[in-house]
This record gives sequence, C-alpha cells and structure tokens, in this order.
Amino acid sequence: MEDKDDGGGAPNDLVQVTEASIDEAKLLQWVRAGCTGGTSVFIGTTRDHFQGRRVKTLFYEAYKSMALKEMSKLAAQMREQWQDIYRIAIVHRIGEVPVGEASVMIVASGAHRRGAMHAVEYCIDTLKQTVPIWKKEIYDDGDATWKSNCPTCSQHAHAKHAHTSTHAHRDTAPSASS
Amino acid sequence: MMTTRADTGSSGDGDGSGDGSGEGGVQVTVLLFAECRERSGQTETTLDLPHANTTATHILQAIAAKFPSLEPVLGTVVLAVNEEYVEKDAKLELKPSDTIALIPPISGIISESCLLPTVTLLWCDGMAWYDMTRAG
Repeated sequence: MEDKDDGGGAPNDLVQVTEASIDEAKLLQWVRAGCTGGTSVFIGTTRDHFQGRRVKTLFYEAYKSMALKEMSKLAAQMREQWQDIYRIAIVHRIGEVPVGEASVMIVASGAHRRGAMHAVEYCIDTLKQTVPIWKKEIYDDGDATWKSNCPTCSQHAHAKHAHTSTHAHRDTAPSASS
Repeated sequence: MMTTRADTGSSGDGDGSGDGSGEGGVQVTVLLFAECRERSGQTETTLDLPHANTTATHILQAIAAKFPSLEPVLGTVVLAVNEEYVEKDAKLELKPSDTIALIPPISGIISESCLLPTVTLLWCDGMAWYDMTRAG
C-alpha cells in the first residue's frame, strides 16, 4: 500500500503525517489569503520535563492511513461548525521529536478571528481523542512510557466519553507536550 | 490451540464453509501499534475467528488468547475495522480482506461503550469456544 504523507481530499484542507520537521512558516503562508481576516495557530512542542523528570525526547507512532482519514474528517467537522473558515492545515510529525521541536501544528484561517480561533481549539482537543497517533516519552534516566494525554480518562470509573466528544482535560497537563 | 490456516489457501480455520460468511470462520489481518506492538513483538498478524459474524468483544478475546502478553492492556484498547472505529457490542460481519487495528489509548479516547469490562480467557478446540474464566 502506498505510504503517503498527505491526506488528499478537499483543496483547502491540508492534512499530513510526516517524519520531516514541520515547516511552520510555509504552513502559515499557505493558509493566509486576501480573504482571511484572522489566522489562528496551535503548535505542540516537546517539553523537557514531566512531573519532575527530565524528558530526553518524544517518539510518535501513527496508524498513518487511518490518522489521515480522521484528520480529514476533523477538518470537515471544523468547517461544519465554523462556516467562514478558508483554509485548514493539520500536520503531525511522527518518529522522534526532540525537545523544543514541534510535533503538531494546526492552522486555520477565516474571514473573522472568532471562527479560526475556536476551530483550532476544537481541532487539537478532538485530535487528541480521535486521531490514532501515539506518543512515547523517553526520559533522561532511560525509562520510557507510552502516554495517554489524559490519565484520568483511562479509569473505568471516569465520566463517559464518546469518540466524537470534544471534552478534553486541559488543566492537568499530564505529559511533556500540550 | 486454534487450527492453522488451510494449505489450500481458503480462508477460515477449516471448521466452516471457508467462504467467510454466515456460520463459517474467517481469517483477518490485525495491525498492532504502540504498546500492543511492543508487548506482542509484532506489527501485523492474522487472526482466525470461528465466526465471521462477531463483535469487537469477541475479537479482543481471540487476541487475548493468541497474545497473552496483551491481556493487561486490552481493557483500554479500542478496535478499528478497515480504519473505522467500532463499538465493543457492534455487530460485525467480517470478510477475509478486512483489517482490524488495535487502538491503544490516545488521550481522552476512552468510551465506555468501546471498552471490555473484563477480558475473558477463551480456548478453542477447533469446534467451539470455551470460556475458561468461569468455573464449570
């Protein structure tokens, strides 16, 4: 099966899963146009610490073909909710992402700022729930753990989530990236 | 434990019609990622299921039987069939060309309807599945 980085699909939606480092300036340039009054950006970066431990690097693994499909669905959901969006870029890096480097970038542009801002927030929250990309934290001491960004959600007793839920635990920051 | 695939290349485990439908068995592809990949030591494998009409719960039970090392984590694994998430109780009609993926937790992905409450240990003698976790 062809192992494409891009999701194809809608011309104003760019979805990508890549081992290359994210070209932030290029994405920003692509997403803006004369018709866009507001552009909103989220960049997830590998942080050098987690709960007092020094993080050496992060490693991301993807079910690539399904991740691209889910990212395309996500872009469509963003457009459904915020109709004045012009362009959307969702790029996730896989493989090793060293400290300080970007693992995920989401950009949305639109006629007005409100739609773009809300769409980007919705996108990162939903991506962390529905897109099959996993993260492994590798610590300075040689230990490593596969992370669930929201450990509280791993408990059976926790509140119900559906795959389409936009609920996310943002306050606990339980991993070495956002 | 499970019979191996037939030499003739037909699908199924030999105790069914082999055409992958109805009462016959089916062999599907299973993809493993992240913690499941590390624990099992495989990225891709095949799984012989006694019935093409099945549920995610039964598939996970079959995986637990084939890979005991996965049992501790299967309670939080969600299944995807042909790149679409499936609920644990959803009725599935699998074909030999189907690809199942084990999706370990990403983030807040856990949905109660997608979880196994427990993993039941099953044993198959080629004719039927026996629930080994129940006495008698």
